[in-house]
Amino acid sequence: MAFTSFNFLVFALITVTLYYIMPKNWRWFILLAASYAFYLISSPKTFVFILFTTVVTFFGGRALGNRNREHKEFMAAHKAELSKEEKKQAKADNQKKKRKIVLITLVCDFGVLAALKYFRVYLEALGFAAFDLGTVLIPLGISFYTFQSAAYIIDLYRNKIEPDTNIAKFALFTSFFPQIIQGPISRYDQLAHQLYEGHSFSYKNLTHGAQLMLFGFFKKLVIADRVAILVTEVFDNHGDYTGGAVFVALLFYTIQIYADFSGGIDIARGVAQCMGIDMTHNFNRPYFSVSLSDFWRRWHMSLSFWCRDYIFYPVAMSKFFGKLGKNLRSVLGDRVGKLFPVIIAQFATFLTIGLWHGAEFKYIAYGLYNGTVIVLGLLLEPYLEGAVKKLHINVESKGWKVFQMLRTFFIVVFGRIFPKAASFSVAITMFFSMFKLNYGTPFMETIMSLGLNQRDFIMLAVSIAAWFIISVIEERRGSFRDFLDEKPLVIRWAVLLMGLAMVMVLGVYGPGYDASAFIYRGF
Amino acid sequence: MVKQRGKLTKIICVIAFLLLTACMCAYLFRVFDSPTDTQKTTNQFYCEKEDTLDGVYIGTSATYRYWIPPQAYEDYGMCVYNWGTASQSISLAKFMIEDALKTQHNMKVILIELRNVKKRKIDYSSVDFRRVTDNMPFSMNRIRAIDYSLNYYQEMGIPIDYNKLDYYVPFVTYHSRWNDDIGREDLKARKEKVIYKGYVFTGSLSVVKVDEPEEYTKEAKLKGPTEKVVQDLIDYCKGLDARVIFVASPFNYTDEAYGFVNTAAACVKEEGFTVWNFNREPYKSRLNMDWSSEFKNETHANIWGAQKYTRCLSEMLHEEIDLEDHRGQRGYESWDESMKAFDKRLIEEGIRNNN
Repeated sequence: MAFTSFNFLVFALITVTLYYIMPKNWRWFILLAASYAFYLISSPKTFVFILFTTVVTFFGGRALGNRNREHKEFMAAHKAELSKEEKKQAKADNQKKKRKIVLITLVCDFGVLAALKYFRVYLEALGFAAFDLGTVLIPLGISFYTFQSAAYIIDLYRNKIEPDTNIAKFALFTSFFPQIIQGPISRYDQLAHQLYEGHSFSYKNLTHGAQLMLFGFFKKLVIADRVAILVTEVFDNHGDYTGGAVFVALLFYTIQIYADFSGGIDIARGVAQCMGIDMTHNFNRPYFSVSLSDFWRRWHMSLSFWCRDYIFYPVAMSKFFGKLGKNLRSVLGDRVGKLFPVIIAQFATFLTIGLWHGAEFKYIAYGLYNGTVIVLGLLLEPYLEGAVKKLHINVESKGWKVFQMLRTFFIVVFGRIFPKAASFSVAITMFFSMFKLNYGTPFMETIMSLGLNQRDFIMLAVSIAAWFIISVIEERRGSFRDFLDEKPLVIRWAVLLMGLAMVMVLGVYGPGYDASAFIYRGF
Repeated sequence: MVKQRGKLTKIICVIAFLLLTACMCAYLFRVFDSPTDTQKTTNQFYCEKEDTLDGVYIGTSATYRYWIPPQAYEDYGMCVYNWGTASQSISLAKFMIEDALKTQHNMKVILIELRNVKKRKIDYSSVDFRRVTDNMPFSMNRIRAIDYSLNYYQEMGIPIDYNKLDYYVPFVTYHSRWNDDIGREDLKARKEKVIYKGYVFTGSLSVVKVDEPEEYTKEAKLKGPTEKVVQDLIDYCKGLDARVIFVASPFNYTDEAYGFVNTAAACVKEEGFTVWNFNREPYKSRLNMDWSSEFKNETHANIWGAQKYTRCLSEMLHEEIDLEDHRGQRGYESWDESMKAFDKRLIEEGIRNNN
């Protein structure tokens, strides 16, 4: 069930209504019922996999929780009689046992993900393409709920949270329907209590949630699905296009992916907010970033922060890579040696991010591209700072900020060619084709033949301008919805009605209208 | 008290906003509606005063190019509305009759054109039934018409969009007209109507010499789904009080097409209904079309052919059914206007002398 379908709107309306009808203590149950109903409607054949992950993670978590509790009780009971060494040994033994539980749970969770999402690619890479693998169904949201479950287990291992004792409530945490399609990847300590405690009706939550959904529909239907027409034409027929057309398609893809992804997230967060649940943000105006590191702190934040907390920090702060870096100082120099663990951590992080998107090499290349640019930035930092000083550039000036934003934006644009192209080799071919001048058809003529007409481009320009203005307001003032609340009623209603009209009229949905189909030729 | 007043204000605001939204949606739905010419015929039908029609003639262009209601009104005072739309699907007939009976309870005759059974698979398009259903007022009958037609098309194996929401809510399809043919007139959101009670005058002045076809008497087996639709229609008509007459206006086409019409006519006759097939004797001779000057193409009459057809058909209706002469009666002013407008048009086109 797509977020932009009429069925989903009806589904959300019924869920929100039932949520508030139910007594407070039972409202979580409505969310669970709705989440499982959503899953069964959208992906019934793969329902067993989310059940598997839920059960394994729940009992793994209970086992970890028991280990934590038992160790705590043991240490409390024998605090006086145990020596320092014995306490250290007991802790180490406990950690070893906990690691076993974590390993088993994560192998089960990630094993299912690896088998279903990456199985076919690995077999083909190993030359088993001849086998008829049939249709391997990818469970809905498997990456999201697997990563979310893994975060839960690792947080339990780190003693950050207490284990959930109610498997039904835990099932809700794993399967909460607004986040199952596109995330965000929520943390247990941030989301669980919000799901379980029934929220009172709030006019502000309902209206703000609805407004956020409207904004999500606007981004998805008016912008993303419209630019997708041009992007699909060029990328599906890449052999026919070179030069500016490829660059424009790449630029449009950069807009499409952001509008589509953030639009879906807004719809998800809007539905949740209608029920008083504040889901974690996933985007923070990433195209205003001043560096690629900044970009990854603003883009798909839940994934970046997951990688930061469960890959980057453990690797960067690990004793092994710290020691290795120290040993390599004599070879690589003091600075690089010191940065060595961070460099490894960055590549590990971006390799994960690449693999998150898919197993094909193009996704790995995408991850490595980002990792390489960030690492180069780290290594060249002193030289870049020196150059800025020598050129007397005022780093606090608006001009410099704009330059940084545009620089970062284009670094991101070029990187996008990897995930979008059909394969790594096609990505490379398309990248170099951007620099080939096309002396045949004039540029504008080519652009106007890619599936969008003049009206489409005008509407896109207007829509993106509106989105940009809202983003600037949010960058400076915080929430646009709070900003709008301060305005007179007439202005608020005018903005909302105009937004709704734009989505209804300009949105790319429905079977499409073809005037020629209505011309009766046999008349 | 202050809290309650705040709550009340919020409720009033919410209701007011929802009403505004509903008005905006109603306006947008009216602006972005079906763009076809024959939509106006349907719009006009629903504007006809309650219980003023003697009958309705349902069909395709084989209806709206042949039957001139204001002429029949001028000659006999009968009010038989021409509810023909381009390439209309036969699956719609019983639902259109059902809708007609909601406001026209006293209809004495229902004419149903049979030529639409001859359609080839490539001639089918969802637009055929959308021209009617998109302009019917919302009702369960409309939903049933859509569901039935979609089912018929699916059984025929026609590749169209089968998402029902796209038909239930026409706006889902027509909203993208903003990028195509929406104009200033559309923004006025007026429901356009027609003056000649369904007869389409535009393009009726052409004259094309058509070979007079030989009478074809054989039958051709109808496709299974079409046969079922015809039978369903027959079963429905059996329950009507009005006299149902199946009609086939004259045309020149393939033998197979004639065969399909003959088969449908035979089915209908077997069930006791009257069939006036103007491609078969004795009706062919009675009508006596001049194939060299009364057609605009092989399958449609021009104005002169339509006048002849109307004269003949209205004469037959006058003979067979006791239809009241409504000329000059109160409540029939729109028919008087239609008659005068048609007369004026004939004079302007030089078809009738101004005397």
